[in-house]
Amino acid sequence: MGKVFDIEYMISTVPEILKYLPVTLKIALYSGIISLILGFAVALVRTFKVKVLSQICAVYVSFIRGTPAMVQLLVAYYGIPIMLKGLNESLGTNLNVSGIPASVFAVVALSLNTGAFMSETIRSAILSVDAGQLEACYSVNMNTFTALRRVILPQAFTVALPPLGNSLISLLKETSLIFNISVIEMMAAAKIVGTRSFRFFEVYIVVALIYWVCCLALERLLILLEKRVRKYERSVVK
Amino acid sequence: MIKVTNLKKSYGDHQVLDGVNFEVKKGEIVTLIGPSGAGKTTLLRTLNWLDAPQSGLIEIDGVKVDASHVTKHDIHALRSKTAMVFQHYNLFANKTALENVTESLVYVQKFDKAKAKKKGLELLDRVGLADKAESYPAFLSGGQQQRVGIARALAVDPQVILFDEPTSALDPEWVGEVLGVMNEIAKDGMTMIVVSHEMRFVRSIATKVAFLDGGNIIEQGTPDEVFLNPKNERTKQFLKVANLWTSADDYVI
Repeated sequence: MGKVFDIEYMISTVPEILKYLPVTLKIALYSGIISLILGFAVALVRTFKVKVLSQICAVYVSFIRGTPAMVQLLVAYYGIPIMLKGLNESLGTNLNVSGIPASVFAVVALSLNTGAFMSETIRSAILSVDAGQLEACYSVNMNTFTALRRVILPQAFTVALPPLGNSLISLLKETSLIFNISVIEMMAAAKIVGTRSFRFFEVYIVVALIYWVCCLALERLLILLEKRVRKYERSVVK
Repeated sequence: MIKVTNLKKSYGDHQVLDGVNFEVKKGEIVTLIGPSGAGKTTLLRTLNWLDAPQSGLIEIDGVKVDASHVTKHDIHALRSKTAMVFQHYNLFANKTALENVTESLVYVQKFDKAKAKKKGLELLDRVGLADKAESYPAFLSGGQQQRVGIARALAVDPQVILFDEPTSALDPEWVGEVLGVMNEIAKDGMTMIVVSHEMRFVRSIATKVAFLDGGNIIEQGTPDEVFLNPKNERTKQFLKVANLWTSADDYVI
């Protein structure tokens, strides 16, 4: 039996695993942007109780919150091609189903997942802004759109930022699930490297540390952003 | 200039405004007094359409609004004639004092930014707060916030400013500075409708006092008429409790 824990081997695997970090980050970035937009749209629809749409959004949020991310990923991976095939047959279109890279399904599934959680965060943040703020906007004859843009949403954003940061950090980590739908990102790379030597523990430690460093960087970024957006609030004396 | 006709509003069974008729001339300073739940604040808020009455007519400076079929255009027209000063100031928390004033100039009246800033600073100066232009509301005292609130209302360039208990959330030491600013504005000829419990201030500034109870105006007149010689029993009772009027029967010799 060799070493229990081979540090040299562990370090030697870092470059090969790190090579796939950009894939992980790219998918996290795209999903993050889409989920923010989606979450914001759903939050607005539900806050203003838009007919029909608001009910659809409620079902969407409930479904996403009530099913595991892993299952959603697989449903997207197998379901979207079937849906497209159905579209092709019923509409006579000629969409190339097999030409879609698996990473697209990953982005779709992760965006839908994170978007649902973010929509609830944003909705509650909008509701947390004092009704007097909107009344003040109306009292100086602003319309609802201007009131939202200039007064309500900026304040809601301050409230939503910490939990949105949480969601983004979760999202970054959840990208580790997508090796299941054959996207080669960091986790998949680690598995491949590990299989060659059967030293899985070492490579998983490497992956864990890389994720941690990425999340730390994201955390720092969020703290800086929060300081900026909270400039109008008075801090409590400690 | 302001004419309210048969204005009605109810929440379920509760009739908050019960067919109010009411007129205000240009430059008048009208104070609404009366017990809690009488409908003073609701009446005030309907003039800015922050509360929607169910029926009745509101006419302000040529803008006529029929409450039973009101359009978006009506609401904006009405709001361009009125501005509100709130009990709890309701300053835009994410905007500086100056931005609170200029926001409506830039985004409603479409001033260019430099012109809006100039006018904003003038208005802040008028309420004695030019040096606080860059402060956020959270860093201002209650009295200062309310003065910014008055400057913000002035920026609308309204025909009438509506004050909803403007001093009742303030520390006693700050009440004076806000009343002082209101006095200045009154002297400049601004039409004002004030809901207030500051009876001494009401007496000194108002040109007309209206006493509301149960969703209607029960008695109105000059401050001297209402305070020294109230005719209605409810008014007498209210003023007695507020220690502002004593009937001859109360003197025991």
